[in-house]
Amino acid sequence: MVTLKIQSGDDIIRAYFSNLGFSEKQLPALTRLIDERFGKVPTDGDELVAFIDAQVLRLAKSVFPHSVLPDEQLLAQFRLMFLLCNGAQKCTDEVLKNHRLPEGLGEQMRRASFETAPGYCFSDMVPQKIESPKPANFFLHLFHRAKKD
Amino acid sequence: MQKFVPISPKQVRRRRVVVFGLMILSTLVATLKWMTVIPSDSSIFTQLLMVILFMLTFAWIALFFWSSILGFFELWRKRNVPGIHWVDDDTKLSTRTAILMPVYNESPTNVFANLLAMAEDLKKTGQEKAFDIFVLSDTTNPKVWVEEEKIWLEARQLMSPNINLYYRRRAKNIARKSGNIEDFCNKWGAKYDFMIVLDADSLLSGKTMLTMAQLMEDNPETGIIQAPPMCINRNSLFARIQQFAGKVYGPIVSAGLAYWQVGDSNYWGHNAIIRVKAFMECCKLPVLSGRAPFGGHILSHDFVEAALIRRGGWSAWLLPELKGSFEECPPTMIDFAIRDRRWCQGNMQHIKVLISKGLHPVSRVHFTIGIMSYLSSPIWLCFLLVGLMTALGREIFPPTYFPQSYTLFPEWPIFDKIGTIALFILSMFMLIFPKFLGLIIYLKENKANEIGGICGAIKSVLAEIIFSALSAPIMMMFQSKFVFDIFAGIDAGWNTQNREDSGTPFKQAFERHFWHTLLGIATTIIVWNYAHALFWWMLPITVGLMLSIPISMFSSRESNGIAARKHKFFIIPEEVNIPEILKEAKAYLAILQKISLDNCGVEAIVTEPRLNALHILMLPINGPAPEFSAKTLEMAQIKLENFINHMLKMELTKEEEIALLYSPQILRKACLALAI
Repeated sequence: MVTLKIQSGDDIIRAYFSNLGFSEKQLPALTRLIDERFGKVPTDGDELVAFIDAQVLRLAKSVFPHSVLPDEQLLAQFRLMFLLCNGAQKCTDEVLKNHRLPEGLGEQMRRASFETAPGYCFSDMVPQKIESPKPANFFLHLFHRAKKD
Repeated sequence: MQKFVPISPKQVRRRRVVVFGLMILSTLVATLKWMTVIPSDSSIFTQLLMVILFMLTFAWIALFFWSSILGFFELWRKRNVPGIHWVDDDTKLSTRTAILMPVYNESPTNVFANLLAMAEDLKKTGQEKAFDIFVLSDTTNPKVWVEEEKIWLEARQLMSPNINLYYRRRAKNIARKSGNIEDFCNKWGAKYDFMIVLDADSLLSGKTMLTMAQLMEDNPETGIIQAPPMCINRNSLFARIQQFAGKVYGPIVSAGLAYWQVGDSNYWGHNAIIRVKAFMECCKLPVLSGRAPFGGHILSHDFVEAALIRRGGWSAWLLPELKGSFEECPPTMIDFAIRDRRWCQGNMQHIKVLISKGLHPVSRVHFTIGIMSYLSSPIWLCFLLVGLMTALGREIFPPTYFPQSYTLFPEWPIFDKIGTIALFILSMFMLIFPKFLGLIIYLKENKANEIGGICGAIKSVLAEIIFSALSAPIMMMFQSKFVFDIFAGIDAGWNTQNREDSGTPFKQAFERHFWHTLLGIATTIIVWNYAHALFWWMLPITVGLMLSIPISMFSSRESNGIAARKHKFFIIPEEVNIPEILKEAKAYLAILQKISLDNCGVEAIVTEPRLNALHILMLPINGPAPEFSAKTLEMAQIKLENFINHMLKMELTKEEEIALLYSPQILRKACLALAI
């Protein structure tokens, strides 16, 4: 697995939120909030990322309550829509505090969301045979006919 | 609205009797004449061989000729294809149609620009909600895969909200394009009544797509409707000649085919609408027994699908009335030959299908025509070789004038020179005359200005005839080699077609045409020295072969195509009155080309958070990951770590890149790590 080159836990938090489009100005508040919530010095990056993921996933579930996507994809959908709708410009750290997006943003993200493909509606095609007539069968057929005649 | 023209089965039979009767009759007459022309001193075996080869070659020309003549009269009288009910343009659709764009390592910008233009055009009909677009990717190049995702996202945002633009990629390309469509049918077919199948370079106007769907609704027994595609958009001289030929002669050829095929037409694999129910009932293709090139998955699936749909009791139509159907032709002679290699193998494979049980006789004719379009080359080659050998034989073994002793009169070998010239002129006439008929239709409808004016059109037709004459022997050699390769068991594989105007460099031309040139020179020397009487007869063939390298290179140049256009050569109507859809496609192409596709592949996925999220979101629809070894993934991770931590170039192999692209957790982490 890829090793995260960790300077500190704060680096990971900053990277996480800058990937969501948050600006340098917004990052300190978000970092502080996550630090407080996490409440300990992270031993490895994965643990911290999983913790932030859980926070963001809560938001994702509130925006897409009827989604049937697995968590990994739901998180990806949330990230994508958040980026497409410039969510970071409309949010502060309050978002994570209250686990709620600002009014209108959730709706905007829902509207912007799309299906990569419609739900499956499985049905099988009927297998076809391409059979060449066998010479043996042809002669048998001929013989049979001749006998009948 | 077009008028409904009724036709009874008896009338359909009569049409076929006319075309094939004329073909057989003219072939018989010409063959009888040929039998009197063959040098009398040839052995009986040689004579028999020459008669058979002549008959096959001439029958091929005769079918094309008579079909074109009847097509000409259909166009002259402006008669519609009979037996199909036409509907009002504003008839509301109550069905759903999926527009399918199967792609395989194609340029995503071009593909999506065309799709956006088609969607825009559909919007103008006001019935765009009845259509969904699917990009069905079989792309194996990881970089192109990521490009497709990136451009798809942009295209989605440019697309009318009333039309869904879906994308899915198959991890395993089972059965190539036919497998791709089958996969669609299995997963989503039940949601749609019809599907319009496209090729990566297809472009269909909104009105045409709507009409196709309306026709399908109103003709419930119809399985397939094929809109004949016209070549456009290319600038190389070779492609411009093909475009012009397609535009001027294509209509009479299509009308001729439609005349005798009626509801038993063929399907050309794209720019056609298919009833999903009929397709699902009849078109799950079997894997042919034996090994490639004859066995295995069916390559030219389109002909077989049309035949199976017909076998299932559905009708198939070729409707020349449907305009606004476009495609692009290969830009160079070599690209044309590369495509031909694939098609040739597909058509040769049909030898196995041709005699299979239960097919409609007309479907068997389609297969025969397809097979003959390639077999005719080696037949022609054999014909020439036999003729040459006979002439050389006479030089080496002079005729015996007194074969029996005690005779007063010598036995002169009879060679009917005038008869030979007459047959040659007849063959040339049958090949060339239909081209002028195509031109006459333009003149009759006062549309000569659309193809460069009367002067421009006439000189273009003459230039096209000269080019065809020069390139025919080269194509004969190419196709003969393809046929021999296929019979020797060499498989064509599956390569992406070059669709860009890029001139053929000397090295490539030399590699491909060296043997043609050598053969041309050798034949000329031999004929000059040992069979001088044949020299002038062989010249049209030997000149083409000797000049194959310069012809191939010269015709591949875009600059020569543009210069020809400047001098009013090979102008097509779509260049004079540019259709809206072409303008739209061009405009969208300009927009999409602004999107940077540098460093696509894993690098883009880990450096662009938006693309990272999109890729991970789309992974499940792309099916389960293909198998790759743990070592491949391990190696890929090491390269990725070196990229992240030391900014070293990744230089991933294709397998490593694919392995990473199917590892969402690694991609996600790498994207975070790069932001630190």
